Amino acid sequence: MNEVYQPRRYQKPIPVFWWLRRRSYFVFALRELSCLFVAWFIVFLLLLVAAIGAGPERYRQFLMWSATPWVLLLNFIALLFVTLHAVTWFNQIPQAIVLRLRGWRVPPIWIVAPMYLLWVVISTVAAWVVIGG
Amino acid sequence: MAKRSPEPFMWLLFSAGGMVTVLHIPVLLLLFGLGFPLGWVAAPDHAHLLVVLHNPLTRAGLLGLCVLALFHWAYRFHYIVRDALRLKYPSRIIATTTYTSAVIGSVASGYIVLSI
Amino acid sequence: MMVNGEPKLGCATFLAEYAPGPVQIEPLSNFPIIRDLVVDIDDVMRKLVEVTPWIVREDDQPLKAGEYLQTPTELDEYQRYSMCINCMLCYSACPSYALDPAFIGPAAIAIAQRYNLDSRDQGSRERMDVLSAPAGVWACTSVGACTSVCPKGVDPAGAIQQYKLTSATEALKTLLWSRGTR
Repeated sequence: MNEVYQPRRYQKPIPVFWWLRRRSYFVFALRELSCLFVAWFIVFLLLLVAAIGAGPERYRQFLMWSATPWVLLLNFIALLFVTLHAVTWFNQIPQAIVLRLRGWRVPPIWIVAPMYLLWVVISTVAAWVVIGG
Repeated sequence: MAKRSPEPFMWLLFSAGGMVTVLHIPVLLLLFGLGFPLGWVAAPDHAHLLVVLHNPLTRAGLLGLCVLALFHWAYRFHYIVRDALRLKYPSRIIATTTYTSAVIGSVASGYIVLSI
Repeated sequence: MMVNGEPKLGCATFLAEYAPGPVQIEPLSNFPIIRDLVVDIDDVMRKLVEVTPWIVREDDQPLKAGEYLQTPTELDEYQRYSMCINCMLCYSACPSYALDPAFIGPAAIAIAQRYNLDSRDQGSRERMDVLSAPAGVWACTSVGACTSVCPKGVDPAGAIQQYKLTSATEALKTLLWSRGTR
């Protein structure tokens, strides 16, 4: 017998909505989709900056536009997605960064907690700067 | 030695973008997207924001945020198109298109932020 | 095999957990099925070998020098990744492997890291080509399903994230250094 019998293989096709099959895949898909809302925010930010640069009237018009229902809804959804992005990002940081101090493994919480703290600090400073001190 | 592929650098840009967006976008979106339009907080007056924008630190920060956020978007979006839409074969076209968009967006950001 | 759609070790999964049932069992997903519950795992077997999963030395110590010594701390660096039993539940759970069978996959990267992080090993450079290729760590999109299904707590997702960082900093250093020496 020189030949080895190779039975036919069956490769199960991957369903189109494979990412709906399991909760972890779904959360992953949402996390990835958050990048679209990050891009939306950059567009929104650039519109804001351009409006400010064009004078008080344009800025006022921008504020009124941002108060229209569709824009409010979009920004609300964007905020939810960006928050998801933030939480999943912070959770992944200790996976990538393993710190050792003289052989002692720093517990993941000690890496995550300062990140959350940094988030709060930066947010507070940004809000303070924007609102006007 | 391995062929120099751009993947590691794209990932570094993606990671930097991820970090920067996570720290800055939520508060800005909360304020400008919901807080000011809904009147939870009084919107800052134009003169004050113009002063803030003219500050070189703000300009540098905004430009950095826009560029990194766009490259973060490009990296993730190109994977979404590849995995969810399963368009693997034209993957070079998709990668080129998304990164080119990111570059165009960055240039536009630079123009807008620096010309105020 | 898959038990109610989840990759599980058949030997460690008890019917009592699923009472009153029914229980659906299927062959391990993402692998070509030969027949019934038997799948073809040649692809993964090949990939496990591709990453040079053994201690590589540039200079072998002579026998007279005795064993290579390792402190408990040094062991701790890689011990987690040595727990892999090659059950391939991670490949079954990984959507990136499902969508792109060229991806070397979680177990291969974890075992490569097991050796990269071993203080006795000097073979990181050798493994870099395979790991840093587009079908290596860069094909991973950090879904994390591999770590959640692993019955031995290997955390391949962590290994992959760490390697991405290592590979990226190496690439950066190579770029900057080569610019500098010109």
